[in-house]
Amino acid sequence: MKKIYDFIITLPARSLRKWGHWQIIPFLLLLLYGGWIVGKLDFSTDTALDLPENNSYRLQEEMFSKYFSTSDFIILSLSSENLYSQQTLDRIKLLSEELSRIEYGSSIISLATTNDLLVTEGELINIPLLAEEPDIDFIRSTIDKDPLFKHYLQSEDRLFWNIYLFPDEQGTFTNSELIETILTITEKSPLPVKLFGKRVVEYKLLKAVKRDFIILGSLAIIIILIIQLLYTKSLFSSLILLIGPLCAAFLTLSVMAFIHIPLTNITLVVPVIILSLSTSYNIHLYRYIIQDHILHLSLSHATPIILFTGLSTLMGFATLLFSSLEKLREFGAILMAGVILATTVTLFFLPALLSKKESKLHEKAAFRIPLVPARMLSLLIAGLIIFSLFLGAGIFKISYDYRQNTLFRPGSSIYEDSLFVSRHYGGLNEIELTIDSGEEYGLLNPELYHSIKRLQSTINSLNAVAKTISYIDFVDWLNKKMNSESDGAEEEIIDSEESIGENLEIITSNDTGLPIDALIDINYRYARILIRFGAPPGVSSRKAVTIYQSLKDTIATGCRENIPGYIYTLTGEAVKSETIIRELKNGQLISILTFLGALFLILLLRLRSLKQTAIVLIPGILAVLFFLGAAGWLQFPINLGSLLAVAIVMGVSVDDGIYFMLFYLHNKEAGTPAPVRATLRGSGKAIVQTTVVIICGLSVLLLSESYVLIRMGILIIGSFIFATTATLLLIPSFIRLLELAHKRKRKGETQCVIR
Amino acid sequence: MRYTLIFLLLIISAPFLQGQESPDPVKIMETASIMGKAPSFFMEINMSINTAKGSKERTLEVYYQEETGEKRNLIQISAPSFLRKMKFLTHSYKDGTRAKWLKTSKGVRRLSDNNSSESLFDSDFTVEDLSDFEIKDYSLIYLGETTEKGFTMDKIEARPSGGQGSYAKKIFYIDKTTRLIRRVEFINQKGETEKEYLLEETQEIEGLYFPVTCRMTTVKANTNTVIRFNTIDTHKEIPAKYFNKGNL
Repeated sequence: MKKIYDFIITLPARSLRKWGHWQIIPFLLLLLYGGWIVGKLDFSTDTALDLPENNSYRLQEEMFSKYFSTSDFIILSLSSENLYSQQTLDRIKLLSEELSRIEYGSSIISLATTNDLLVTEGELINIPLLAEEPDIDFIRSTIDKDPLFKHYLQSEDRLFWNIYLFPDEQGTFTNSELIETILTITEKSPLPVKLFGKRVVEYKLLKAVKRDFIILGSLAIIIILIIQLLYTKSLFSSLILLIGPLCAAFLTLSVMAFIHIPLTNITLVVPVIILSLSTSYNIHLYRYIIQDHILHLSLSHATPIILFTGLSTLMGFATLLFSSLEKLREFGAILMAGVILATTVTLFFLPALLSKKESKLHEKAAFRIPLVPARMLSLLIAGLIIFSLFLGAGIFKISYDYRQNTLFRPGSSIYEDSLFVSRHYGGLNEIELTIDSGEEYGLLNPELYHSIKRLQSTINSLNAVAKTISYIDFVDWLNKKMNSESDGAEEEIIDSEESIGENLEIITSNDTGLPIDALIDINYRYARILIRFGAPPGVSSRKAVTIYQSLKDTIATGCRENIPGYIYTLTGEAVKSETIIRELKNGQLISILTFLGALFLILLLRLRSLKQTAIVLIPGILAVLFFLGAAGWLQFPINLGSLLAVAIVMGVSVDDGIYFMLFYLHNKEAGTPAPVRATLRGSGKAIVQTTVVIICGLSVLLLSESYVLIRMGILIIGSFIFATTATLLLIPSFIRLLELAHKRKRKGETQCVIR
Repeated sequence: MRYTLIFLLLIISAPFLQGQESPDPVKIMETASIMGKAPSFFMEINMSINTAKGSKERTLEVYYQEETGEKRNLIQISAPSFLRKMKFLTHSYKDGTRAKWLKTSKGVRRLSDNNSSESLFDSDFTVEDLSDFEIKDYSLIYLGETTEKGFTMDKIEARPSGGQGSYAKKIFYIDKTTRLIRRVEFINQKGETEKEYLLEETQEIEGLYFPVTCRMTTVKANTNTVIRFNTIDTHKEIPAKYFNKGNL
């Protein structure tokens, strides 16, 4: 084992002695290849996560997709001073025609494509609502009287006309192509048009990702360069310290392109992290060069530290490989690749660049970090315990949020869209309640029909529910029409299989243009109630989740009371989010424990001391505690970005503790007097410098449009500051306590021997 | 003598030198039919409606009678049982007008002309598709003969007169032997085939030809409806009252 360890530790120095400058060549070749392949890097969004293939929610969703038409649509909301003016109606017709002609749209639902079934004087007439010469009074009265048409064709507050566009499920177009085509058409329309829906959010998110990549990436590079300039006061030194990290980040992007992992609103953080991490490794090496002035000697001293810190970071990211979610496994793999590249660039590429240029490297005068006086130590520890308990309480307040609008900050276009939808449409969140009647044509049972009707009415009465729709609305709609000829007669109650079945047959045969196939399957076995609900964007995540949970409970109670014995299933984006978060939460605890356990063993092998190993792990544990506790107290909802961030925090926050401990052991073995103070003096600056670089690099995330990145940035930065403070205050103090305890023990043993 | 012989030869060969005249598409369409030509018949058919979201079956009884230029058609659903009370009656009159009625458990209602392009029981067939072709509503062009799968057919293009109609044009392929319509392409304004009808199998009953299986496919929606003709009876006594609206 020792031979292998020695071989690895001395490899960079031996390689430099043997190859010198020539070590650059493989990196240059890699960079050339990377340059060619990085052009194929894709951009995407992480709004749609795939659950594991055997996940029960995913299986159910896939099963139902075989029976019901898609709920994937874009809503165009058209405003006008007078909704029923001839001009407005003409413009709706024109816009509908143009939209129906686009290559990517499968179908349109609008006033222009919807037909009414008129039952009059013994005649059944299928009549378009918007005829060649529209009868405005007819249109107004039809929509006023008809809840079905109101539901689809107008907003809740009756201020906007709707057009639904269903994209072609078999189409090979991208989402951006579709949305841009629609925007090109709507921009020419004299009616103001707003687009919203899941696809629109993804489109805007994708634009934000591209923007963030260019702006935040450039800013991170500039900020890191400025920090290095402030430290080194030398442009040459600063540039040297930047080249390696730039190469590492660039090569990481190339690896992403090579294995087809797109850059998304979450993975955007990867190049920034690698840039920052690589810079911190370079700083460690750089400090040894300044100290030793002989490159291969500096390399021998720095290699164990860089390798160990790299290994701990690698292990933090490796925990993602055990996730049940494929996206997280991808993140873990790419971050690990990035760390390996960062370490390799630092140990092989940078030394090759610096070969024979050591004398040109500069550094500012050192600053001192004081050791905590002994009398303050107990106060410090007490304060830490109280703060940790406070943070721990925050963990129980962690929530998640199913609303997509929480991805973006107020003032951004998506946030404004969410406010608009909430105000005029009562929200766009939907729960799909699917009821299985148990057999073909089972939904034609009149008893079940009325039970479902009662259930729908119960759900509709809730405050949080904007509206519901089901096949019942369609059947009732036609039933009312069929009975409308009987003046003054009461509406005939549906009391037979024939009346339900015939109505459904007539509705499906006479194309009303409305999507009944999203509400009932072709063999009348499965029925779906679509429940639109919403908590406005300003409402906290906790409250939003309470509203959602309360709705779910009411649905469960309603189903138990009205349709006992029938199987029902809940699906929809809100339910999917909840399922994903549950998977994430389950994985989170396992990840943290796995990481701590594995790191503990590796450190124990190196340090050969349980107490020292425990001391090194303290900042890491505190950093994770800070992250989760702060997320709870600040009401930052947990999502995919959070899990990624926890892995980053775990992997990086122990680096400083490892560096300090190794530096201390080196001083102790060398017989340096007051080794703790000497270590603090020698390593403190590097610890502060690396933390500042990482924090400054990550601070660019706070400028993102994406709330996910902003929150991730805030929590990671806070965690690192906390971890570094703990490293510089606690680890030296605990080591001193250990030394004191050891001295007392030896004194006691000596006294015993004398006696 | 020699010149006289040459003159006679020229006279005899003249028609062949000018070329043959195209067949009259109107006459061809008059003899063509989708379901077969007989003065009256009874059919029991099974309709399989296949969509991306599943399939459903409907069993129909079809009664047809043609008398003094008027055609009457009664379709009633025999399965599934909850639709047994649904009946569909059409009368096509000599003057080209048409009347349609739908009977449900709630009574009888007349269907307006707007309904002719609506699907039959949510299938890919419309009322119009299964009815006899109204020649006067279209301008016809003979496109020539074609042979597919061993069948020689007349190809005829039909464009709605006055530009009115669900489709820009329809292209009919009529079997020269059986006079059954073997294929129809329904072409929209963009020149794309929206629907396609295909006759898959035929049968001969007492010298008359009828379909056994046919299929209508809606291309963009990726749906199709297959009709199987289980029973065809050209001798069954069909009382006139069957086609009486009051009797529905």
